[in-house]
Amino acid sequence: MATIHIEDVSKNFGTFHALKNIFLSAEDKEFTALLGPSGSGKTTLLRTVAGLEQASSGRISIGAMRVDNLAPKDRHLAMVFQNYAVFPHMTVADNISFGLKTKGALKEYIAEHTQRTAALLHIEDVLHKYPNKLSGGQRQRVSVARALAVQPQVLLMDEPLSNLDALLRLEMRSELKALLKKSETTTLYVTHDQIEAMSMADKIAVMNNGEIMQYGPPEEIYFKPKHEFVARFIGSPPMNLFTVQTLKTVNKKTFAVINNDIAFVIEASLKTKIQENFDACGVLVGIRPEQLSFKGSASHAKTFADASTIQSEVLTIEQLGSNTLLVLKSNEILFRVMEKYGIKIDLNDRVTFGYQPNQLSWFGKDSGMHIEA
Amino acid sequence: MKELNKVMPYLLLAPSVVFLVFFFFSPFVETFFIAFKNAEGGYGLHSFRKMYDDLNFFVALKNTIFLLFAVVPLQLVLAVWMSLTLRKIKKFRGAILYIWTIPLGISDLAAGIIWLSILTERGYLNTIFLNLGFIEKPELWLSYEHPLLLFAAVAIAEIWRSLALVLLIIIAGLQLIPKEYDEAADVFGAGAFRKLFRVTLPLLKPSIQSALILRSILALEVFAVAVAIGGTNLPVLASEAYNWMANYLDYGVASAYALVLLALSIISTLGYLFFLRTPADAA
Amino acid sequence: MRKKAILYYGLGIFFCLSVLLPIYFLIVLSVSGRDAVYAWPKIFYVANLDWSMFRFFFEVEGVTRAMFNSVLVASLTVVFAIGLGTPAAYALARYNFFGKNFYRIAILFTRAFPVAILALPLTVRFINLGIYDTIWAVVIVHTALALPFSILIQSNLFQSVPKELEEAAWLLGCTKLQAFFKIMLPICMPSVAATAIFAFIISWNEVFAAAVLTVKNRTLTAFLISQISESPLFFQITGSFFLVIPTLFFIFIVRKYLFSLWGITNK
Repeated sequence: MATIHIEDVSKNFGTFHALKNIFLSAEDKEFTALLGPSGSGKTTLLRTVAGLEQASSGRISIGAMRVDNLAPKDRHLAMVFQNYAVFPHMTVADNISFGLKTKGALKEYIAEHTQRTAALLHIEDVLHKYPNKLSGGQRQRVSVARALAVQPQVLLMDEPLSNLDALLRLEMRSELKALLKKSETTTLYVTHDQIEAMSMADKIAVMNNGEIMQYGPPEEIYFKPKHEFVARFIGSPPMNLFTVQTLKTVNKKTFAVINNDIAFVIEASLKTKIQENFDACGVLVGIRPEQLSFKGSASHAKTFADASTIQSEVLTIEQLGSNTLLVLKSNEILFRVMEKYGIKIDLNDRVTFGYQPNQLSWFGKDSGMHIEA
Repeated sequence: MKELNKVMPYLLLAPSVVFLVFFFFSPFVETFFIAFKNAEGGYGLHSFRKMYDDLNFFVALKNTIFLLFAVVPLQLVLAVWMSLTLRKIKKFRGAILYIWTIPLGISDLAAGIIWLSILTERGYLNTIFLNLGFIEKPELWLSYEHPLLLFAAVAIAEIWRSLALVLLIIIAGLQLIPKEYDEAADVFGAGAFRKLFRVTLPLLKPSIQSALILRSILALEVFAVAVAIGGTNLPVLASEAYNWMANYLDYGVASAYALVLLALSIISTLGYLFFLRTPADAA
Repeated sequence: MRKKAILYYGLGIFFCLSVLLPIYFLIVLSVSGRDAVYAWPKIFYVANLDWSMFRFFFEVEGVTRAMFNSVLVASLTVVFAIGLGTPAAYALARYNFFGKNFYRIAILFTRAFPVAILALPLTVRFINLGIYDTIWAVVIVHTALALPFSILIQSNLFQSVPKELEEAAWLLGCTKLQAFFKIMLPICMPSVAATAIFAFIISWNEVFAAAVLTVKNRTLTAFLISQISESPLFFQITGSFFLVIPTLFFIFIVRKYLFSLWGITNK
């Protein structure tokens, strides 16, 4: 059990910068998800912590020990691979006990501990089988058992569920979460699946182009994206982002005008910051599809007097079971709204949506950075 | 740690590099020196002149090249034919393929002797001919009086022995061709021969190329088969190199012969690379 | 459809017979005695078993030694071809380094060399080194012939093993060397063994270099070819019998690996 400190780690492959000045500190027993699209550097970061890749610069510590110059075997960590990497020429029991044997544990301890770990993952019935006789799900369990058997200080997992079918993945997700909570192992978990990250992790590091765009608890990542990229990447459907055309003050309220139909109220506390950004390089405003609420059909033209609403026409309606996804069109601008099932609405209706001004996210247009008071 | 990882691959390669430099590449370079060395110690074409004046040189050159042309194309045709036949066979496929590849392990010397025992005066072939009424008494075919038959016997032994290599390469290539291509051709009503020439063979071109390159290099080196069957009556380049070396102890001329062999190998390889090249955009 | 199947199987059997009959004749002649070799007309089966040719064969001076030398040379060739080839193959399969492509091409390039071009200058060198006419001279040339094979085949093999298997072993406390011996080698063992058998066959069958590099310390092939103009046919036939039988057995063992061993020529 230990903390992980990653300080200013960079990794170059020739002229390609796979990791750029990464800082990350995971607490003891914490579950951290590295989330990002493919090629974002999340697996490289994990492999660098494991020692399978050498960092070009920076330091990595596990607990109080600096490990970036140690061989993988001396780092006291274990890893679960995307393709499981179960040794095909060994039985399940030999796979699970492999780490204990190389570390020279006592025979009785190995036997007992192997049995216990196998029981934890419900594979005690297949201990004497070879991996080619196992299903994908069982192989996955063997690979987790093998990693946990050595009681590592840190557990690294690289997309461990991505090769399972959808149903099994769901089942394994909750089981894994409970298991890791119980084993109290500090975990770094690479995934490209945001639902997986959201549901399992204590903290999420969202990565893009070799950088950590945001690092924090799931709710913060979701509701308070620090960067335009995070806003676009997280959420399904993702956040609606609008380019602000002008800023206009009416009745002491300042509006960010998108077009004739759409304008968002700016909270007083943000006014100057947004004005500065707008003058410098433009501003984006974002709101999540489920944060827009249906206020009824609109017959009259929009006036700036009624704050906190926007208008547009319904382009498509998709029934998603408990929810209904609407795609709306206002001039050339498209955006999405998620409503509860049963909303009375028709194609081409002109409708009004309301929002809470404090739920709006503001970003500098060029920098992508979140604008805060 | 970081440094060791950089050096590691070179450490791993070092033994093989040292070995190959010392026992492969440096002898290769040395062959040139030996071949171009004159008796007085200077360098010149002395050995090549001697080789050129050797009565056997043009015979050996002719035999070697003719054998190449007799053996390799026929092997290719047979290999394609056999592998297409195998494609249609479901049961006992593995057993048949195993039998076909047996000669892969048979030494060229043994192959020569085996065919000698079949084709000799009192051999199995003549016994069959006797039973069929073609001949009445043992006939000696493999003598200097029948150079063409001698040549044919060596060619047959060579084809028999090394067909398996071509076959393996062609079958491996055929397995890479998706069955859909075959089916697509069927849908368009292509006849068997049209399909072979328009679909299968063009797709097989890379395999055909590597089979031809490899086989031609080996065919040019033909030695033991020719010696076993033809003795001194069917000289080839390799057997002449052997004679000049083992019997006349003239390394210069032997090396000159070896260089001629090398030149032919390179020419044939470049030829296949050029004539069977795949256009870059079609790859 | 039926007719076609008969045609295909007919062809298949025809080609099988073409391969098998000459070997069958060799075996029949070898065990039928000296008289059968010269008999006219020939009998197509073993009329009465007669081992006299074998006895004669082994009584000829130099034969036992030549056979022993052949086994020794081929075994040592295997040791060197695998011993030198395995690390190099591993480097090719698992590392990216400057000069990798050059090395690979140089190895492929060796295939274009006639043996003659190796054997001749090496004779001169071996005389200077004092190992001319020893089995070591032959072992070295045969290793030079088998090593490129061994490197290319094994590097393909190692590459086909997911690197995560080794990485998992490293993380579970193995050094790189331990991981290689505990994970990589056991997984590849059958194919490495097949490669070894191939190296053995290459050496066992090689004639030219063995004949040029030895005078007294002959291998079986060198012994047979040096005697070929003087020795009687029945002696040559027995010699061929002993050349062919071990390789028949070996080809049978490696039959499953023929494609992975030769598929490489497609690159």
